[in-house]
Amino acid sequence: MKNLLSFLTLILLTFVPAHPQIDVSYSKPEELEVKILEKLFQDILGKERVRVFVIGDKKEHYRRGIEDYSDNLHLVTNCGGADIVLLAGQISSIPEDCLKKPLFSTRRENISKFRGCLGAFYWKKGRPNIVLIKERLEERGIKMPKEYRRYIESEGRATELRRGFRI
Amino acid sequence: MTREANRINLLTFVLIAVLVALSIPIYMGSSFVERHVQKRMVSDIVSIVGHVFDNIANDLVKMLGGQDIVIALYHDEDLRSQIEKKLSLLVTPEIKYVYIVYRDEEGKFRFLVDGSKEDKGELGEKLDVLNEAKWLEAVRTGRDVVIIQENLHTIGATYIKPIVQGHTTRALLVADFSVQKIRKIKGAIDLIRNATLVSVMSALAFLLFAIYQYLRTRAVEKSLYIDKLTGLYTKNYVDQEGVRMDFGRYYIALIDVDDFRKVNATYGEEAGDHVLRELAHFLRERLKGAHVIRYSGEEFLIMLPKGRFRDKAEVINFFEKIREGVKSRVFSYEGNQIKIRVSIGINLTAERSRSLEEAIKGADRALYRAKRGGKDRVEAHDDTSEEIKHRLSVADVRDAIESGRIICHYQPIVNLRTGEISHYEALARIVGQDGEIYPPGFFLDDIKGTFIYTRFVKEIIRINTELLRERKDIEVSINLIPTDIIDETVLGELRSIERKVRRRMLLEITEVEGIPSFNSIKKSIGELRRLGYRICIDDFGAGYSNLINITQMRVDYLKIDGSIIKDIPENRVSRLLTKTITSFCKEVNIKVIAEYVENAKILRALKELGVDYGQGYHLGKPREL
Repeated sequence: MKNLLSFLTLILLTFVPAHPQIDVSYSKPEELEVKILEKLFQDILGKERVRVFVIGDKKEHYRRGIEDYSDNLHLVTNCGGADIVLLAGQISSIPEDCLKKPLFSTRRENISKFRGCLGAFYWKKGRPNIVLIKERLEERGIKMPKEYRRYIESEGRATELRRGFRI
Repeated sequence: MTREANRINLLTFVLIAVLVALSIPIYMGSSFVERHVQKRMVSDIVSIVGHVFDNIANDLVKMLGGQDIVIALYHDEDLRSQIEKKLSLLVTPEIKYVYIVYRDEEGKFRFLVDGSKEDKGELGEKLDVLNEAKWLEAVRTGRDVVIIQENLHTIGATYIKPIVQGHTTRALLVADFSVQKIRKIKGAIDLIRNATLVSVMSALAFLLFAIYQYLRTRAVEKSLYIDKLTGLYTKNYVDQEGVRMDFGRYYIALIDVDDFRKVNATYGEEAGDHVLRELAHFLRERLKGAHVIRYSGEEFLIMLPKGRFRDKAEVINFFEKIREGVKSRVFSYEGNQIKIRVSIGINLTAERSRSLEEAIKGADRALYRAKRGGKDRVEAHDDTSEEIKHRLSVADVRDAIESGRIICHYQPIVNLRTGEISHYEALARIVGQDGEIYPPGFFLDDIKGTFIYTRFVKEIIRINTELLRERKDIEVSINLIPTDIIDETVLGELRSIERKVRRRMLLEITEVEGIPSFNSIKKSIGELRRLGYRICIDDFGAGYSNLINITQMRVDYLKIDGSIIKDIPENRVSRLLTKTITSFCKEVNIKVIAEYVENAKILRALKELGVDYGQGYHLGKPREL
């Protein structure tokens, strides 16, 4: 785990900005995570200030990060007052009232687990990765800027890929 | 700050500079070694990974047997499993991830196989890559690409090997690895670097401390060396820096304000301070290029470069102009127009002195002559003049004492009412080896402060004691300076004389002002009077004594200075001063002696004023008895 962390840090510190398409500046990996989430949420919701409700086993980590590094993300204590719900880490179930809200995850696995999950921002082999599900964005009438094109995946295509129909 | 301290400071600076100079190459060198080692290790691992990947890529192509790798791996789970096993064999603590990706029609990289033990990518899963240009370069050129990533703590690389089928790059075999051993090497190098850094920082801390100490000392020096009132250097500066000065290059002069006490007494000390400030400014203006030092209260030391003058006469003229300039200047203070005069003593032959102190002493002698000669004048001291050539050295005086060549000449002091001789003033003389007679002006200043001086005083006391024992019809006064009568050796000598002689011996004490301790003098005078000696204060009115001190000391005689007496027939102020002193002394039962009775006019004037005694060439020249 220690090695993994140092490896992640290495890759993170090496590539600044980490995502060439998403222009964010940061000085720590934790700050990068929050800045990318902030940018994503602002673009998904089309608003500057975003109220976020965080749940999941990593919620404390992300809550602290948001408090420390974001001016535009505001933590709320329940889904009722939230613009978006952040699924931080593993989660087994989501409160009923949260399912109506747009969901976003820090684990790729949560995309297939929860239908309302619009996408995920996660780490893959030390590299920050973003996935946004086209159909789910469309369902909520969300139109993302051009810069996100390379991160948008179609659910149908995913199935086709798994079956080897479209490569 | 002493010269020794300066030397230590310089040594500290040099040592620190050497330490820093040696440490910097070590520090820089350690970074170079570190970079070199890192480069070498990465290059070695990259080379190993490169060779292994060549083998794997060849093996893959064989396993595929002409099938397209992407299609084959999508559809053949067994093949995927076999390749995954092969790739997993490469995973080590350093080679963390080994996987195969391909680029889809949208240009996204997607996993085909992942041999990594953790964070595995699923078939078809998108991978956002960093430094995409390099990845695309591998796709485009079909050549291996290495992306090096390094930061302060670790170093890593991504090795990308294109799998080319039919001249097209169909997939990329990728390994992400970090070089763990670099950390250990870096740790050792860091130790050296940190030790060097600590030593450099310590050296710099010492340097800063040394600079701080230096600046602090300079600030203290400045406060010691600069006179707050005038902004000129003080005597401390001369005492400290004088040893380093090439004083032979200068004419040394002392400028002293005449009767400065009167300015303070008449206009107040603030006015006095104002006058000194203005005078300092005036001297600085007139003496550009010279060192102007406030040597004591109202005395200024001038060190004037010799190069500006053709001859000594020109120097004396220059100082005459300074004297005239001061005299004609009006110092205005709060509506008062204050005028002052100065006496100037110049040492024209400073280069002949052994030290600056001695050179200043030469100027001081000239200043003394200027004061004795009536003030408001310039006097010069010239070692090359005939008079000075004949000055006696300390050794000459010692020889004179040892060979009995100290004698006294006696000048009568006459009772002006009766015309009878009251007593004689013993005036010391040295008989030179050539038989010439030398008055005190030829040796006294030079022996003051030496052990010979006390021997000389004892010799004078001895000579006069002998005289009084032989001549029971006369009384004699001998001259002493204040420090003599608090000197236990001199006091012991005076105590040892029999009472009969003591009653006929007067002690004339000069320069009562500026004495080391007034109370000690007062106590000694009290004791000497109890022993039977009578006390006379010499040179009263020369600017050194005051009546309050005189009355407190309970003396028997007061001798008015010649500078007042000499112009008594013409000068109303001098007459008034003499009259006032005389009437005051009568009130307190002190007898008044006037010196410098050079002619009948002076004698008549003194008689009219009721002065008790007179002394001078008109009444009797000094002679042997």
